Amino acid sequence: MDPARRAALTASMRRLADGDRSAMPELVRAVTPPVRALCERMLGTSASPTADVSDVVQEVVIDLFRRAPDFDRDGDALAWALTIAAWHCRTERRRRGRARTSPLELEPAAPHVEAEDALDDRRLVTALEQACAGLSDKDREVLEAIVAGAPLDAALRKRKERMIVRLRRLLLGDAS
Amino acid sequence: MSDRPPHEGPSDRAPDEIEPTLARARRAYELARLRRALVHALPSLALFVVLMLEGGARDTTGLVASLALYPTTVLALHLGQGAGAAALPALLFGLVPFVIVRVAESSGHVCLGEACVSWCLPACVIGGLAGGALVGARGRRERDRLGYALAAITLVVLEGAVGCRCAGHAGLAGIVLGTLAGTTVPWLAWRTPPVS
Repeated sequence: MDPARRAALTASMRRLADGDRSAMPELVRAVTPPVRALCERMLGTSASPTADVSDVVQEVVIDLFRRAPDFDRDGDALAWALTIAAWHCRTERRRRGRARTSPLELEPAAPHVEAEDALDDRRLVTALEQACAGLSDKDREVLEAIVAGAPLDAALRKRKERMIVRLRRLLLGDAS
Repeated sequence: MSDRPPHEGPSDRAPDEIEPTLARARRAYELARLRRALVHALPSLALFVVLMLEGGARDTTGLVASLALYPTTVLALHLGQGAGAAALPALLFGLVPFVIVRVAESSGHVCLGEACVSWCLPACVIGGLAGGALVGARGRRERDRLGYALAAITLVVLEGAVGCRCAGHAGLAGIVLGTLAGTTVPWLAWRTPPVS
């Protein structure tokens, strides 16, 4: 945001803090784009539907107005708004970490995932890796073809059934 | 990929994208202002407490005036701008006529021969003048002078009225007229632009 618009944003926030309600519409229009940009960066895009980011942006704007009467008149409104937005984004990340159900996301554990969940994920990944390591080369070829989505002919489908049986034994065999 | 650069604003964003957010934001803002005003206005109850401690439960005028200070202060703080800026200073300015009248009350009467005059009524007028002058002097710095004047004069009159109950209705008239007159002199200075 260029300095002139940033200064105008701060002036509008001061007016609102003092009780000038006419500053509200221009504040919503001015503060929403940088807040949205930050939320999109912090919450990512591939795993985050656009609607989720829009919900967070709306909550941030509402929270800004709730806190407006306490705005420090000597402060910078943009920095203040982005600080509040970052807090909301971190809260949303934590909420998503708790709601996550798939155990097969193999990216490194993000800091916000609770330690216990991260440990369980790693144990599961290790068990799967060990089971796959116990497969023969031919079984591994079939598994790779399935993961790649390649079409299976009759012979491959038979091999697939035998591979699944052996993989199940490897996964469950140690437990028994 | 977005068509807009990241930090460029949707100054021409469709109104229906902003209106739902604006409506909820407005409600949150007004509630926050009200909660803040309810807390920050608590010092205005001090006179009511003093009156009750003095056993003034039968003094209807004083009780009503002192109780009315709280919602008036809450309203001023909630509205903000000039009225909000007036609220807490006016509570202090209103103590001036209150104290002047209290001192005058304790002085009793002045008797010339068989004619005795209470100091109460003159004290109400003088106290109002003093309170009004403080309101007027402080108001030079305000941009929203109308909101400031309405809130400040109301609060000073209410506080002065608590003290001026000693002179009855005449005392009330005295504090009102004195405050208005006291504000008038600095008002002439308000005709110049506000000090930035």
